[in-house]
Amino acid sequence: MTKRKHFIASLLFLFTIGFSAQLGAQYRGVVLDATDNSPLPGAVIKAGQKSAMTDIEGRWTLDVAQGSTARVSFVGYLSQNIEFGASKEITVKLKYDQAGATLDEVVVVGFGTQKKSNVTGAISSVKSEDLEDLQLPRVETALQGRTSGVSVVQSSGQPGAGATIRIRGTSSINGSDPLYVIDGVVIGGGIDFLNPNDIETIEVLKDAASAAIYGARGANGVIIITTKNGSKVKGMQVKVTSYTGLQNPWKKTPVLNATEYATLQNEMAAAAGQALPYSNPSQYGVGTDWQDAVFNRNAIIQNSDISVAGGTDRGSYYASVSSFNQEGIVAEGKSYYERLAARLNTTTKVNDRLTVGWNVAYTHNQSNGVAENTEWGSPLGRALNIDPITPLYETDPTVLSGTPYSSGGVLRSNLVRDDNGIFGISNRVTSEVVNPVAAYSIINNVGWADKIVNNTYAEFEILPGLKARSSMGIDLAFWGSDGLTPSHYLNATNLLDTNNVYSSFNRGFTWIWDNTLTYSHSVGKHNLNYLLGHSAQEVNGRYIGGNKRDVPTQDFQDATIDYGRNEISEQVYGGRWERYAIESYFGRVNYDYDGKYVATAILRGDASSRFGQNNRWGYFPSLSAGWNVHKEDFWIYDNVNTLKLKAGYGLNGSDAAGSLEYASTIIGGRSYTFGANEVLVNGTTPAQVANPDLRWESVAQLNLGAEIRAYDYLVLGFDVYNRRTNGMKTRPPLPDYIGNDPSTANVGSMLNQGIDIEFGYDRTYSKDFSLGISGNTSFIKNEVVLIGNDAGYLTGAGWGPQGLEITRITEGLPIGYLYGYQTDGIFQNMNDVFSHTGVEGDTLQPMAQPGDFRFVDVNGDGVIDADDRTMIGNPTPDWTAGLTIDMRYKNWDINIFGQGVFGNQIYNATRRYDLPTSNMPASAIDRWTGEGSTNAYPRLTFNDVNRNFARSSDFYVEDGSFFRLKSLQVGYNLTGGIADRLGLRKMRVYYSGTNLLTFTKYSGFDPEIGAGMGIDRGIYPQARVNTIGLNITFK
Amino acid sequence: MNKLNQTKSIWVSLLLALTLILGSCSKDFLNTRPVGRVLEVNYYQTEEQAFEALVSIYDVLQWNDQYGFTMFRFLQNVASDDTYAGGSDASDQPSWVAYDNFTLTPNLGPQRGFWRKSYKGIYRANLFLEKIDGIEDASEAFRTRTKGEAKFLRAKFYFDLVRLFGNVPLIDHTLGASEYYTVEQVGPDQIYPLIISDLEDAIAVLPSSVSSNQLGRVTKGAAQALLARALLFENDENNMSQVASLCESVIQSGEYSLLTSFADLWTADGEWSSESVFEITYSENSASDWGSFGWGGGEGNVGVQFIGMRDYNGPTYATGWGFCPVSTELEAAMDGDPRYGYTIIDADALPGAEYTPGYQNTGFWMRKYAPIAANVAPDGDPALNWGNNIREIRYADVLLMAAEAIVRSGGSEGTARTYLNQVRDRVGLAALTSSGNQLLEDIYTERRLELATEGHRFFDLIRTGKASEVLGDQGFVASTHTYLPIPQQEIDAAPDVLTQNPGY
Repeated sequence: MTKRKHFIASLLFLFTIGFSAQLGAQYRGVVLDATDNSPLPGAVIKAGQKSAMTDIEGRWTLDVAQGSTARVSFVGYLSQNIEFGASKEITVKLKYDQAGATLDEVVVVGFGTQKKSNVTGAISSVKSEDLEDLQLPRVETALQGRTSGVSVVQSSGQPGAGATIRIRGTSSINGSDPLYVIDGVVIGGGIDFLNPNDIETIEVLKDAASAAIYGARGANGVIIITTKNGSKVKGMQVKVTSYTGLQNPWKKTPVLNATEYATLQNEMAAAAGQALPYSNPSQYGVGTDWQDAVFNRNAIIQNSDISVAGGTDRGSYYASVSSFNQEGIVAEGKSYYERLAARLNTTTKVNDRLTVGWNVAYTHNQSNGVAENTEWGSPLGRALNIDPITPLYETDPTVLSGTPYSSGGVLRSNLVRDDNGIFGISNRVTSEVVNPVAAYSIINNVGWADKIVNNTYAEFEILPGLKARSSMGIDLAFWGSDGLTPSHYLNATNLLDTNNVYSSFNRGFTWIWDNTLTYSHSVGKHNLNYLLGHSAQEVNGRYIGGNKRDVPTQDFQDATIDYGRNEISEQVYGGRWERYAIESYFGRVNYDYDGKYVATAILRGDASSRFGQNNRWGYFPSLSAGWNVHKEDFWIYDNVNTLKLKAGYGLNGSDAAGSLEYASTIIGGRSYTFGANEVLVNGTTPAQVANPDLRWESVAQLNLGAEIRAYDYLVLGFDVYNRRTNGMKTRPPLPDYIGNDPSTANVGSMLNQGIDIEFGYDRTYSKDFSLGISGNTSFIKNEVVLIGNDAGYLTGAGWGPQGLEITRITEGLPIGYLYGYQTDGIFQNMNDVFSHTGVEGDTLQPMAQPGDFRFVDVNGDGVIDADDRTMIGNPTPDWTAGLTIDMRYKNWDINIFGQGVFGNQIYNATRRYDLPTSNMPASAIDRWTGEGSTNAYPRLTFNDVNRNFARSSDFYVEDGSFFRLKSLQVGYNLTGGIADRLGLRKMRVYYSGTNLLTFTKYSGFDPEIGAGMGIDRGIYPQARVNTIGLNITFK
Repeated sequence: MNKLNQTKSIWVSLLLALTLILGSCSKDFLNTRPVGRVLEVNYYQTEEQAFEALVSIYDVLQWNDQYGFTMFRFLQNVASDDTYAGGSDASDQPSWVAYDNFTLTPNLGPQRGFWRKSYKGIYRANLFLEKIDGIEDASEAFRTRTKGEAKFLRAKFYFDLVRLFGNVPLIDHTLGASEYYTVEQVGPDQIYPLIISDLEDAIAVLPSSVSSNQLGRVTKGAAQALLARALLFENDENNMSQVASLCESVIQSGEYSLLTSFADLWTADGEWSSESVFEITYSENSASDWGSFGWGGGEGNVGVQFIGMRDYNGPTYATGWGFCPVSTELEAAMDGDPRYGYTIIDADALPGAEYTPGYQNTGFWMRKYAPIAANVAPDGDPALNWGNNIREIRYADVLLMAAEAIVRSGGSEGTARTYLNQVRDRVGLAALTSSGNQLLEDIYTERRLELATEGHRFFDLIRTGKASEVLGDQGFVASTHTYLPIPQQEIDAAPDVLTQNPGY
């Protein structure tokens, strides 16, 4: 709170100058903060007709008669009466009004704001004060662990990678991303164009009653972001912030070294009766540490930002420019992200009734990425799988003159090399598992984007209380990529003789026009606020791209399509998006009686081009109410300042559907080759069976909640909800004999139930010391209620070339649960094999040998087959938690932030089980080697008839719970005289550490796996970052 | 507020009020026009559109990628004693391994891909046959011929189904939603009549030859040969004279002859030679990559990639994935045969060649469709863009079918021997003089050696009743493995319609 006070203090200081020249001073004094005795400039002392205001040191003088009284007041503080007595020197200590300040907070609710005490829905807020000291590469990170009911999981540690955000769980199998509204503009294509420092507030509308104002698109929750603006009160503020950090991997995954690898390969060959591939394993030593080769240490992350904000009687402005650069911790030089962003927000009061405003932001970003979380060849996936015997560089001339480096005795011209020589090629591990450094060194794939988001609005007060507002939002984005694949030979199946240059260019254009009328009036203690609105939005896009082979350069900078020489290889594609349009009408009524009883009713109707005439319109109502119990006369518990109870129910929609998904369209590409010249002739078929009845998915949600504030410094928020998704689109797997693909139909349903809890403790103990603790935790249970096909399930994710089914979506179980066989230890001897029998006494695994897994006959039918696969894990956490501790001592501040998820499992699919020569985790050292050796890791053989590794089983499933010290920050604030002399209002220098500690049992690189739905196929881990930063606010 | 401002304010407020009232959009605002595609209701109007619909039926012929890798001919090799499954190790492609050693279950095996592919083709043919008569823009000649082609293709897909599964739903029109679960699963006795009548209709209207830019479209000879093959497989002795006469028609048509060089047959130039009665065409020019895999989108023959030697380094061939190693039985049977070198690669005999031995490695590899380094596709993933056509019906096969049917129908053994010896003579083998049962056995032996690794052997063993004897060691049990299991997923989706085949 001291921060807030200083803030207001310094603002009001400017206005004291005009008041401080009082004459005939009889009384003088000082107004101080009751807690820390710091002066309060700008406090008002009012005695009858006379008044005074305190100066920068909190001092005042007033010429009044002895015995009279005055009232001392200051914004945000409890007022106090004083009496002018004998002493001419009076010290007043004002107490900060914590409860009052909180209740006066305003929350953005969509098409308007609402006093926090009147909010009846479940809305979480993050304010700029909470964000300004953090280093956020992306806006989404601001929500991670800071709001209950909002799950934010980084897709990966790759620079520029997004995050998967789920508000109160996964609500549909068709897309559960929330709606983003930025300064009133509904934004598509992600929010990475935002400079995090530009953000004033983020509000998350979690329950249906709140999100209903966004009707058809509110089903997955709404994230409303408001950017900063200046103000007259604050005056002109120039702010500079900058930080630089070094990023490093924090964990290596232990794998076999060269000697261990050769030993185990020999063992596998021997077990299969094959010749031993390595004659003397120990000759290979430890071999190549591929993870060391792939990780990029001390990768730099850097951000600089300057902003100017201010205001006058006639308006306000905020302008900022920022530059952000991040290198990745994998694949040096081939994984980076850069962003340049500029923003200008202005409002102008044309006259007493008309205000116009303009927010415009431009962002350019550029990035190069490497493959991640895939078994088909990511740098880290390859590093885990390639054998440690292969050298990073091959220098031995004898080896180079043989296969695979040379063909027919001649060194291949397209071997991959760099300044240090020719990259090694494994002669043992094949397919996509090539030398990871060689593979990424030839990647040139630069993505770029330019985006302009603009919002122009006018607000006019037609009559007192009646306002009209019209706002036009524009979102214009250009993006594309440029690439060059040089000719290369990585191994026998990954090669290219002639290089290939490619390029693509896209343009997306969205406009959204909102018109609203608002009216507020009061009758006695009844306060009413009405909103009526209309909104229309259209999205259009175009794209073009092409490629050409044989550019006479291997240098990406020089390669363009025009430079390519192979005319036959030239390919062009291009086209237009099918346009998307949505039109909506909406209304809202807010009612309160004396601030005690509050209620909100919303109705929105939307029509989307994504649906056919039969079901184009959807209607989404909601109703919510609250009771501020502490305002009742009977409330006598002084220590409990606030008690609000609230309840809400509503219906939200989701129009997540493809364009013309309801129709049967004809699609081409069903081609066949005819003629001696092998001409590809186009063929066409209907894409699917039509379903003109296709309609909106809807989410019905009930929310019950309570807010409590006690002793001024304790807060507790509590919400419990039940969300049911109905009409979830599924594509019921019709029998294949029908011959055409079924269309989607609104048959499925899903249920999410949970509890969100937020708590806070915020206390200033003395002038020098304050402590804040805030935390949140959420419990969630997800269940797929209905799929709507006879089988009752949908196939989920596959793994490897055989498409091993490792997740499923099944009625009665959580979405995307991990799927496979259950193991029950390892057969220690043949007796174990024979005694593992089914209901009729038959041996269940007659082919098994000692050392093989004992699989469980889950359905008890006496056979181990595909029907025995079952739920072996759940990638969705049972509960999540976040905790922030904020301490200030004199000029020092410490901020600690931790976040965790619990009760989830991870499917460790990092090893290419289908390539038995690929390297193994170090845990293979403790494999089964004989009776009694282990009950956890099966024997190793090239003849794996029991399919120990080739079946999806709980062997691959690990505990995914983790708690992470996301950030630790220590800052020093320069204030007072020194800052003054430097011409600064404020200066803060800080150290920040990110991901310093992670508590987890998971054996892989990182338990935070956002993109893969709990499946680790070799993810790009989060970096540990050490940062030094500087924030300066000029006078 | 001065007067000017007041006037402005009134205008602004009027404008704002108007936008609210008039803001509602026109009805067209919410209608989306298809871009680069057409709604089905507006399609099937022109001859060009009809032709594209016809092409889409042909398209299904070349699919290899339904529910995994389902190369029809190569999988028949795996099931037979011509080749093993192979691959990198025992757990590579479990459905291939299951077909090889007959550990098929309703959940494991190649059946799902075969099933889906056939019914996709049947749907497209049914759709075409329903639409074509309503397309006034199309000429009569066009309609007649294309109907013949669609019927040929429908018959081909049903013939695959009846051989693979025996008992399948017979669907001769596109199903409306109310019919999805009312179809009936019927046996071969009800499926063959449709195959026969479709092919007879096709024979009546198809041209005896096509111009070089139409190569790939079916001809009268192809329809006759396919009908002969179907009747032969149906195995009704009463139909053998019809088989003989169908083959005779092909032989007498003068459209076909044996290539002088057996080796030339298997080169890129050997595609659509005088010996080709019907080929399934593939192209190396579609630049497919893995992104289109599984959608029937690629035009390449991934089977060729499968049968190449794993991590191969050496002359002539390109690297492959080590599937379908040639069995020692076939290798022994072909020992000394002049066709050996064009049928089997002896890896040990290749100078300077190295490869990684995988599962069931014998050192012998399929030569006819082998990946040749000089033919690697210029674009896309080489694995998915092999251009090797599948020689679906060769003239040599027609001659051998003719010989067999003549013998079995009590026709002239002299004529039968002539046809048999034409095939032998082409590769320099001495004429045979056998007769009676021995002649029939000689014809069967010739079929095995002439057509080795072309994917005919398994069905030949089934129809001649020799499957148990030859494949028993592999695990074949006639009462079960004559047919594949009906895919479990299909039974799950339509439990009231489908019954599992016996033994599964």
